[in-house]
Parts: sequence; structure tokens; C-alpha cells
Amino acid sequence: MTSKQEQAEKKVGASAGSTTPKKLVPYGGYYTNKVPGHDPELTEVGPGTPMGEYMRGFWHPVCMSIELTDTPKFLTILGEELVAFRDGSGSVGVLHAHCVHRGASLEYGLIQEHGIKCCYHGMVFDVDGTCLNAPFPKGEEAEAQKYACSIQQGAYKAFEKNGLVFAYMGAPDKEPPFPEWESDFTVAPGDELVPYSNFQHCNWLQVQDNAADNFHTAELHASKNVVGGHFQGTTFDEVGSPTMEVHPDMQFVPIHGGRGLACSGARRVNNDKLFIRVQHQVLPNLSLHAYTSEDGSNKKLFSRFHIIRWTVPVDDFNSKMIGWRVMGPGIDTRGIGKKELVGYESIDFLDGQVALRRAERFANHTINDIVEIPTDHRARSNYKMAQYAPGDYEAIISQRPIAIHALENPTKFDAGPYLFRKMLRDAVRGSNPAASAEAFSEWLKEFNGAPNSYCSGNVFELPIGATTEEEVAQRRFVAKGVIAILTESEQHKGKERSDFVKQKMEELEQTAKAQFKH
Amino acid sequence: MNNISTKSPEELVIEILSTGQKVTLTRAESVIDALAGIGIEVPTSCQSGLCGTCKTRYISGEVDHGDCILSDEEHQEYLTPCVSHIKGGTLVLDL
Repeated sequence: MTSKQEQAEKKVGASAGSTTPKKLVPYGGYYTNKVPGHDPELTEVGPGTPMGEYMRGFWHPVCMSIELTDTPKFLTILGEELVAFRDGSGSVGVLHAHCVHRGASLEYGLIQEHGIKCCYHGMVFDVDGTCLNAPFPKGEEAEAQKYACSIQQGAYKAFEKNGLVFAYMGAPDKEPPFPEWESDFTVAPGDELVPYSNFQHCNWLQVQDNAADNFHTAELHASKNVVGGHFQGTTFDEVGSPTMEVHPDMQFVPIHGGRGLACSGARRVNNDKLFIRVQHQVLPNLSLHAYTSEDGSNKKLFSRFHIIRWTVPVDDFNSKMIGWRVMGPGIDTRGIGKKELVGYESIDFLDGQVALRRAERFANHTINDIVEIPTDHRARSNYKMAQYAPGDYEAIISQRPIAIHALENPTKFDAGPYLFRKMLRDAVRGSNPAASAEAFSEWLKEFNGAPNSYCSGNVFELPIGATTEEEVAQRRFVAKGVIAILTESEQHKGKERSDFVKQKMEELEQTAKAQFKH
Repeated sequence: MNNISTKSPEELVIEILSTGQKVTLTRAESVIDALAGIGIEVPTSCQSGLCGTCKTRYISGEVDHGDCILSDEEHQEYLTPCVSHIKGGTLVLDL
């Protein structure tokens, strides 16, 4: 955990006693100009790496369905070069890109009724990697057959669901169930799962860190921090969700045997209402987000998923946020979601989520187009505008290609990402056996692949505390109380659970009303 | 020895290895606060068990750790006084 640099600094600090540690010397950048390495255990994901092996024990979305066209889609996922395609029979193939014959990339191959044909020498591979045909000259069919049986293109099981392509890249005999959270991802009748994919030019973990970093919204996404009035839709004020700009009082609770983290944040809406938003982070790279546009105007208990998001490593220096935006009147009570902004390299909630801002993303293209992604953030034509009003993309990717944990100076408000990193480490090292990929798979099977989630948005009718102390005590009581109710509700499923949770939350509201001075 | 206060009937004690100095504390009191009480300032930064600035070696004692960074293995030898509490008996710190 501790880097050599850290240890060295500590020695300086400790032995100096009364003298200032080097790292605290004013104008002393000289003393801190060396950049140590990243944390390979959690950040590197290539084949054979600890995190790479762990990640391969789970299903991940690898691209959007609209990326599968009449030509194969070249992809890099977990550092592996792949091609994805939908063959004439409708089966989805995710194969190693390089032909097992002599290495030409199958991205130049011809999609067949069954499988794909390499452009170079015509070997045909089915979606499971089986060689269906090797075009030997007439009269040598028997040898061709014999040869075909001797090779197998690297392949991964894949399927499509609601506009996303999912693949399992681990050992076939360890394939886990695909996790159907809450059996239907809590999509209310009339609502729908709308797919999106947002590319990030940095390591996967800092993107995942951002999801458990519930504190940044009050700064990065606050209108007060936009320079010179150059607003570009990057702040919650501009989209009418000022409650998200309030610093949340967070409670982080590891749940499900250390397989997930509940992040319960209390935000005061006004003198009469308290908003408790519980985000659910699931190992290794899934996050389930409650309503992102809450204005807190009406009481609301146990509102569910608004974003379902995987942070999928492309390689060690690139990643994709891929998932679904839940859209419709059930979840989006304010009716402000914009489906035409949800898809490839775009999402509707705030601008600044990807390299392209909306003005550029939609200048000559629609949401249905696979646009080219700028790779150098400083070379973008709107770089200065991005500096005026940076979004998540600018903040996250500028933490270096791989953020260096040894150089961080966390505050108590960074507890979310730090706890999640520790949980990842315990899972990867095996110090929490329950979180191993195998145990996670067994756990999913216990729930027929459809576990409950803690994710919820809740607006309580709770007046502000009479004093700051009362208010702080009250909001923490309620934030913790919500988690306790959700834990208690684990024994129930579906509507029965929903009714149970709502009833208990009503009771919690009454208890808080009686317990605290208002 | 002159520094023993009588805050708690539980008799939770911190002992400083280099000086033999002792201080008693309650279960609710963090190690860092108890040390500050006898004038020992261990450098801190995050004050919540995330950064490791205050990481200190201990020789013996039962510790309720509460940090977010040290591994189980490291917990056998180190603690972060900013968020750690004593579970029982005497905690001997390598200070």
C-alpha cells in the first residue's frame, strides 16, 4: 500500500520532529517533483494480471448493438484485441481479432450466414471459434477438414440485451449467471432501458472512483465554478437539480458480504424536505444510480434505478462507461430526460461526459451515428470552452492516464472511492473470499441471478433541525436508517419488498420527527 | 507513569515504547486524541483512515482499526491512530 516515496517522506517528517516535512515546504515543488508508479494491482487489467483475472470472472458490456453493422467492429476490451459482429443467422460473435491461421485481423473479414471469414486465406470461424471451413484446393477437402478441426479461433460467449452487447471473457467452466438486478433492472411499466456508451481516455479505476465520489457533484457540477458565465450544460443548476449541488453528508456501508457498497447521501432540499440518495456500487465495475434529476419537490420513497453503468476497461489507459439510462415517466418524475441525447458518445444528464461536447457531437451527426472520438483532449477545438466549464470527462481523464494513488492526499469525503478500492483489493487478493469471482457467481445463483439492490432515491418530509447539531444528527440518523431498512428488506422480493421498504421508511420519518428538535 | 489519567474504569492503556509513558483512554476515544492529550503529535492529514499519514507501528495490543487502506496483514503490525480504537488491555506503540 505504501510507496517507497511515501515511506521516505514519512521518515523525513518523523525524524524532523519540529521541522517542516519536505512535502509541506512553501515553494517546495522541487521536493515533490518525482512521480512514482501507479498501483498495478488495481489498475492493470491485461491477461494474467490480478485485476484482469478478477474482471474476467464477470459479464461486461463490450459495445452497443448499433456498432454491429455489415462490417465487423474492432474492439479492445481488457487489453485484448477483438472483433464483434452479428452474423446472418443473428448470432453475435466476439472473437480474438487476429486470425489463428496467420494473424490477419478479422475486422477485414466477411460476415457469413454463420460466423466470419478471414479476408486473407478464407478460413471461416463460427461465433464459438470453431473453424467451419478452410478453403483448400479441389481434391484436398479431407485435409482441409482435418486442418479445420485442429484450430480454434479465440472466442467469447456473447449476447445482446436492450441495445448492448455483453461478453464473458473468463474460463468457460466458470461462467457466472448474467446478473439481472431486481429481475428487471427496476424498470417501471412504460419505462425503458436506453443504451449508451461513453469513452474515457484513462484507466478504468478513476472512472469507477468517480461513481463513488458523491462529493464532487457539489463542486465540479456547480454553476458557481463556471468561468465568466460560459455555461455549457455541465452543472446541475442549469438542468434544474440544485439539490445535487448541495454537499452531501455521506454514509458508506459495505453490503452483500463485501460484494457491494451502499453510498447513502443526505441533502437538505429546503426547510421541509430531506433527500436521501442511495447509490449502489457493485464489484468490480458496476454502479446503480438513483434519479439524477431530483428536485425534491415531492415526497418520494424507494424510487429506483436511473442509470445502470459498467466501467469497462478497454486497456490500461482507456475505458468505456457503458450501460442504460432508464427513461420514462415512472423514474423521470420531472419528465426532463432527453432520449435523443442518450447513445453512442452522449448522455442527457449533463454535458462534459465525453471528449465531444454536444455542439460538436451533433454538428453533423445524429444520436444514431458512430462518430469519431477525439483522442487528445488538449487538441480539441473547444479546449478553452472545456476549461471554462469542465465536466466529468475533463476532471477524470486529466488525473493522468492512470491516476497515481501514492500522490493523492485524500480528505474524509474521499471515503467512498477509498473503501471501494479496499473492497476490490480484498476481492482480488482473496482476503475477502466472499467477493471472489467464484463466490460472487455462487451468490448470484442463490438469487437465480436476480439479486436485490440498495439503489434508491428518497425524499422525506422532514423539517430542518432546530440547530445545526440537530440537523446533522437527524440527517445521519435518516441516511443510516435507510440503509438499515434496505438490509432488513433483503429477505423479501419484488412488490412485497417494495411495500415493506416504503412502510419502514414512513416509520423512519415519524421516528425522526419525534426524535429531533425542529 | 505520571501521565496516567483516570478517565475510564475499563483501564484501556496506551504505552509509548521509547519512553514508557502511559495514558488511559475510553473505547470511544481515538488513539490520536489520547496521544494528543499527553502532548504526542502524530502527523495526520485525512483524519479518516484513508491516507496513511499517521500510520504507526505497534508492538502489542488489541486494535479496532477502522481504516480503509491497510490490509489484514498490515493490521497485525500497523494502525492508523486517527481512526483506531483500543479493544482491550494495553496498546504498546513504537513511538
